[in-house]
Amino acid sequence: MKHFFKALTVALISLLLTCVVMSDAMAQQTLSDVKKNRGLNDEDVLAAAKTFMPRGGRDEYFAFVGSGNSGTMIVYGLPSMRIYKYVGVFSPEPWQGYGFDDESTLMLKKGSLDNTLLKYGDMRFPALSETGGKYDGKYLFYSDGANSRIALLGLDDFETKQVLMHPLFINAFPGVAVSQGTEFVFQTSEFPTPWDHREANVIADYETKFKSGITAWKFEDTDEAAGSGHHIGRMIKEASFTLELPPFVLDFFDAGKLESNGLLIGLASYQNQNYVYVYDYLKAQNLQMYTENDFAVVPFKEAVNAGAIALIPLDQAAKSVKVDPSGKYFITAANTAQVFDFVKVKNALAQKTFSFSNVLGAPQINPADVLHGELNLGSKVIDLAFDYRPNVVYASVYDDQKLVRWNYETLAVEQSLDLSFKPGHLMTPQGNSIEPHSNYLTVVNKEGVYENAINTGPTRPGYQHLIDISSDKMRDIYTMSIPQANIYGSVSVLRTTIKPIIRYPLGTNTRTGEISRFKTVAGQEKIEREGNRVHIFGTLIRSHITPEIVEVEEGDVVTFHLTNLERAEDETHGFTVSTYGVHGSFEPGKTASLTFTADRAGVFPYYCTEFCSALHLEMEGILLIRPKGYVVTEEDLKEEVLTAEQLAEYKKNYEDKIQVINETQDVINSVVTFLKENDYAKYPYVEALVVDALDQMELAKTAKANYERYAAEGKWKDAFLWAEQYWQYQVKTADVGLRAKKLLSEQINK
Amino acid sequence: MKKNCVMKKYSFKYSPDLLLTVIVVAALALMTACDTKGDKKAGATGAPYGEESFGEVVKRRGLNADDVLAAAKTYTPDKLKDEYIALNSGGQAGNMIMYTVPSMRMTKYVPTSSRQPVNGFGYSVESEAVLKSGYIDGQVIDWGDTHHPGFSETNGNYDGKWAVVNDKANPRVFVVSLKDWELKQTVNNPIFRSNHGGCFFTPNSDYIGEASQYPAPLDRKYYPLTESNFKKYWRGGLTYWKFDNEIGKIDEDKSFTMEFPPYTQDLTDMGKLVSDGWSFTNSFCTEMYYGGIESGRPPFEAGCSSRDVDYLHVVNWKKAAELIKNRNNYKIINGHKVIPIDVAVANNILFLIPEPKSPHGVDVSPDGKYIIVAGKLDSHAWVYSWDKITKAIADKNFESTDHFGIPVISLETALHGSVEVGLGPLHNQYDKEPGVVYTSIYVDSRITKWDYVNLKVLDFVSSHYNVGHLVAAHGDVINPHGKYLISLNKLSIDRFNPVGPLHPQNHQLIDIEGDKMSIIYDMPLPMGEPHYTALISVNDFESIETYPVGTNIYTMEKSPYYTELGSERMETQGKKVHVFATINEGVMKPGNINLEQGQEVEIHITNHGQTKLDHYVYEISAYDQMYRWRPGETATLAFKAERAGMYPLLLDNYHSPEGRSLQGYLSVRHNEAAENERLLAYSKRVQTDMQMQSFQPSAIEMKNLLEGEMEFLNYGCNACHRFGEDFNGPDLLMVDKRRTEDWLKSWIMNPEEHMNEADIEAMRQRYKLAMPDQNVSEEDVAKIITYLKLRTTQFINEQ
Repeated sequence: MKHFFKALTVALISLLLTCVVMSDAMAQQTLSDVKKNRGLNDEDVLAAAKTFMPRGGRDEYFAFVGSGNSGTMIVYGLPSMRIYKYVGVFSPEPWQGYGFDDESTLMLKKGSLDNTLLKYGDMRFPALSETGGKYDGKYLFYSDGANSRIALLGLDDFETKQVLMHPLFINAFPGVAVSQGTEFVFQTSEFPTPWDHREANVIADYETKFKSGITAWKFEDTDEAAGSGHHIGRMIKEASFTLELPPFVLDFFDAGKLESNGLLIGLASYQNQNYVYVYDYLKAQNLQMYTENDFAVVPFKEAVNAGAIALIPLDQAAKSVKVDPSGKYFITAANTAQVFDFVKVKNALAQKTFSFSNVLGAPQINPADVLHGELNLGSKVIDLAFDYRPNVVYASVYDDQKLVRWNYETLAVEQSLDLSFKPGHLMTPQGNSIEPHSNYLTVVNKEGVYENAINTGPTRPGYQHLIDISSDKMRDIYTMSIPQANIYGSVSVLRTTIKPIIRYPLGTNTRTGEISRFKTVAGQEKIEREGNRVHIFGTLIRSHITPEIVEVEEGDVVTFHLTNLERAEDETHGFTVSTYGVHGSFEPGKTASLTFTADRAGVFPYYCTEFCSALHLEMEGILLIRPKGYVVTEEDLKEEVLTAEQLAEYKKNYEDKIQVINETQDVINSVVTFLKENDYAKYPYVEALVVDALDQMELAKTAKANYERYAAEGKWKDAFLWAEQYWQYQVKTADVGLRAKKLLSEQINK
Repeated sequence: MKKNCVMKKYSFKYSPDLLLTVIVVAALALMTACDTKGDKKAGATGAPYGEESFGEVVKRRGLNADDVLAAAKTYTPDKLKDEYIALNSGGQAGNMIMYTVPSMRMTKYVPTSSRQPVNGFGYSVESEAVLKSGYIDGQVIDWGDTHHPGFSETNGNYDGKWAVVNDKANPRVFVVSLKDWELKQTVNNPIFRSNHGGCFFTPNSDYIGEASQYPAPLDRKYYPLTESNFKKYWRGGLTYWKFDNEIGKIDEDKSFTMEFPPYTQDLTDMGKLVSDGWSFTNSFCTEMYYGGIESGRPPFEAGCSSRDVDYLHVVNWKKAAELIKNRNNYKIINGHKVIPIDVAVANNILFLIPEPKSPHGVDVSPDGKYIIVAGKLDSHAWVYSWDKITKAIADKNFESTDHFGIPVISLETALHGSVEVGLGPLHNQYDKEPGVVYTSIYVDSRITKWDYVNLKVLDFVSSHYNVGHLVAAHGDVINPHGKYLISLNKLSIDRFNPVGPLHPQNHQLIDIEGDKMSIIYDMPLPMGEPHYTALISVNDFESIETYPVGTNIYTMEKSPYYTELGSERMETQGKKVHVFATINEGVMKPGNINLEQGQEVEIHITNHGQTKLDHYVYEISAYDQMYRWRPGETATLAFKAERAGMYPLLLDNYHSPEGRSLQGYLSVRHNEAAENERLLAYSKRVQTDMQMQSFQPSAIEMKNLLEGEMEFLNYGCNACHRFGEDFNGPDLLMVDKRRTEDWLKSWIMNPEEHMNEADIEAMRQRYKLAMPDQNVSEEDVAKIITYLKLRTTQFINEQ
């Protein structure tokens, strides 16, 4: 009976829809036409309906990609799988001026060994900050497996805030984990090396000089800027410490939560034997430490003696290991997945019921003592993910091309889904927190071979699939391509948990979260010179850069310190000086600096690189670089004088312009009337636009005062040009006003 | 049932919302009757939705009938193939961006001027050579502002061979092959300081047009900025790059520039069919205004918009190409041929036509008979008739000449007509239907569809928000495809999940098959700011999947460093080491690489993999060295072994989820001299940066600083000195007890004066380093000495 009704529903709905779309028969095709033309079946249309995002709609989740050697954070939305942003982290990124403006460049150089701008990083498994084991949507962490760095991104503005070079590791595992209150961010080495930057023999010195380690980076989030919503938490190197380990090759790791809070578990191997290590970092932080390269280190022996570290041997190599949402178990991703019980592990640690194996003196727990159970899943299990359903875990089985949904309490397979590709890493929304969500599961397809993919050369994008796990029947509903990414594990958080800002407090140095000492407000623009050092304190606003003409001498070291005065959402300006290699992106309120040596004389245009208004192309200026020793002559400064005819023409132009100004004002007035009559203030987006429009009109006052003054003085050229400027402000007001009107009309018609 | 439907068709004609209500009500009624949601806990966030019918999904996601139709038109499961590739300029990201249509999925970033680690662009010697060939006057330029991509053409249609794009900030042109969609050539414009009107192929790809934007002296010299100098020395121009469409190379020697007045030239288009042989370039700021807001002059935006008309530049480039065969017809500036304005006027190859205030786009119709110009400060689009222009030229029917003596054809003479299309029209793209054109309207945020022959508006659709360029499938060649149009919106404001102050762009896909345009997809552009996009049918190009073994992919020639399997080796010539290596079946040979600190090494690697899955990333830990080898590629990593130590060598099979595998170690033997060299280079870098902008640790990092520690750090003292240990310089613990305060002060401020002291000389021998003069001020010296004391006390207390 149920099935009958369901079938009827589908039939009825599609029929109705068919009718709807036939409503404008001349203009539109029907759904069934489209299905037929494109070769879609009912399942396809259902998948389309589950992923398609109607205009202006919001995705349910944000997801952050482990993007490998791109060194760039990538964020997209679930379920539409549309990519929202790439953000430079370990690699310079010119669109955002990252590694091109002074602020980000100095931040990156501080996070290097030799004060250099490193060119890339390898970041495969990111982590989100947590409060009480839940994602709090404030920060995102990445480990750089290539140049051994760790990075912090702020999710209020989606910018990289801190990059630190690991003081000991020469090679790091490209993944991070956080403790459940983000007190610590964990990073480990991957391949063992000596820590002292000296050569050593890989065979003879391996056990004496080669080391591995686990670092707990102390994180502090106390310094929240009041009111701005701008978080400025940072990792504190001086309060962080590293556990020194024998030369294990370290792999994926995860932090305990709830019952297992305080423990870190991870994969290790040594001489063809695989282990899970269990590390009690809370215990370790109180142990005797020594300092190496200004960094606190817990000697392995100390940790062993305190029962802060132990190994569990594994029969099979595992590709991943994950702590379940309750914190009771951890599970290895292996052909026969093993479920270990944290309570038993803790007992073993407390009672020291382990043997001291011949392996480097490490304490070894008998797996049988701590195992909850195991389940064979198939050939080559890559990854695990949890969802909302209690005790349920998903496994990707590479060789068998399937996804398995199984219960790790009862150790039974619930469902499996055959895939058209070999599955790699998995992700569920909120998956690594104590409250994972259901409905969506992403699966990476590293091979990425599709018969129908458009061949655009040997370099292909990364691919992942969206699996609908909302019901008993799992379905592959979307294939997403991601360019410029070597995709591994991702993390995802509920959209509403992240509360991004849309503008900065005026004059913000976005890398520190503080007001920049180079902040410049309108009317205070100036050029300061100290010897050959020239500081230009400038401003950006639709559609001009102040100052517009700058003259310096060849050899001067020049810095443009620019502040974007805009308060309107999405009114970003960019800045560059022709052929001088600098570029900055200035979001509303941001202050950044661009420094270069003016070592070539000549004429260099500078301009706004972000299409910001109808007069964007006119947002330009000229940098003149005078050759060293150039003597300015009187001839150089001779100016043209206006003839009587020219003056008369300007007067007429002025009068015509005043007429246009009056007409434009009528348009503005009508828009304002419409907005007021329809209570625009009730709609925040509309209100923001109206505020911006009124701001533009405020700016126009100076232009009006100027044209009236010049007209009174009979200086018709200046009067005309300032009248023109006044009109430009009117146009900008009208532009924003019309956008507000359109949005308001939509809201009303909803 | 069928009949019923037809009846409904009429009754619901203008009320899709009403129908949706019907659907939803029906769906709701049935849902109550058949609840199939097994394990769902009602209302809980993140709980499984359970098995849902189509109607339930539609309701839950708030889709209306148009949404469902749009979803069906764009959703492209694996069994289907996308129809078009959209090739976008990346703007300030310095690359090109590709996505597929209609599914609107991002597929590729093609690097042109920015380093890009996943592709490896800028990380191998070979790719860096292409990158560096775009450096201007030796200036490092690791980015670009790409604007207008163009596809090569044969007989006026895309031939699927090459793509080009221009860099506005650093006037350059990039050539990309469609065989592998990788950069092959970078050509610097020797006389411009910026460009905008590029890149536009002539109909048989003989030339690529690149017009300047902001005028500047063509000889690139300095002249004081006055009105008379501006008119005398500042110039614009249009460079015609000679292109060989077979080998995909620009021949700089056979290229030339048409000199233009110092108006700000904007976009360009090439004539086609009847107008083939001519090019059209518009301009703004024919006022020749140059700003000066800081000295009380109105800004550029006012001064550049004060005239009612600007000029369309009409050039007979075929005749110009003939003229440059005679040495008397051109001058040479910076090694480049330039046809001066007076020569062009004397030879009847350069004309001006007034066009509406501050135009933006100029687009020649598919039949070449009309040229449409849209002025951003005028609500009309203006249609010029090529017939009328040719006639005026033949009859020498000119209304005047401009300041530089160029004949001006009157607007009335050249105009076919104008149509009011909306506020702020910018660009035009053509439909497959003859006479139909689409225009982007910036201020009104909409696309207007209109008839440029009969001069009437046909339809419009709202876009969100502020559309810049627009693109239709093959919409700028002689056979446009129609079908899809994309609106390249500059603002996205409220369209997407918020991701901080910097928003993505919004590209909206519009179905233009019917009479009514309908928007069917909103796509965020996650990086870069595309200006123009070109759509090419997936049937019109053919790309390769692998390279012949040993290929340098940037020259497409066999690399001299190609290494056969089995002949892997290391060759040392003094300080230079060459490693000839191979990658085969997931293994790099040789595994270990042993060097001495200070040696320069080149690792030439040939990837012998020959399937599309054989992509490898080879990394040298902590050395910032990495490249991605495509199947068959030979490429080189070159670096100096600056630091001693053991560095894991890693190979990542890109198309496998296995992760990185250890191939061996780079072992660098310590060398005292090289170590000193490294440290000196380090402190030099610190000093340079201090000149740029002082280090300013953030508040949270400053919290625990001792008095004077900031100065200690700012002057880079910690680069060499530590407390309680010898480092690159002597231990500073208790230095205040060993030396007097006056001596320390003098030593820090004037180290040179102490160099002949015996104990200083002894320490120089020991540390192989001399104390540098950091130009420490007297005030800061006192702070540093205070810190030396405080830190000593603190250290002793800690022990």
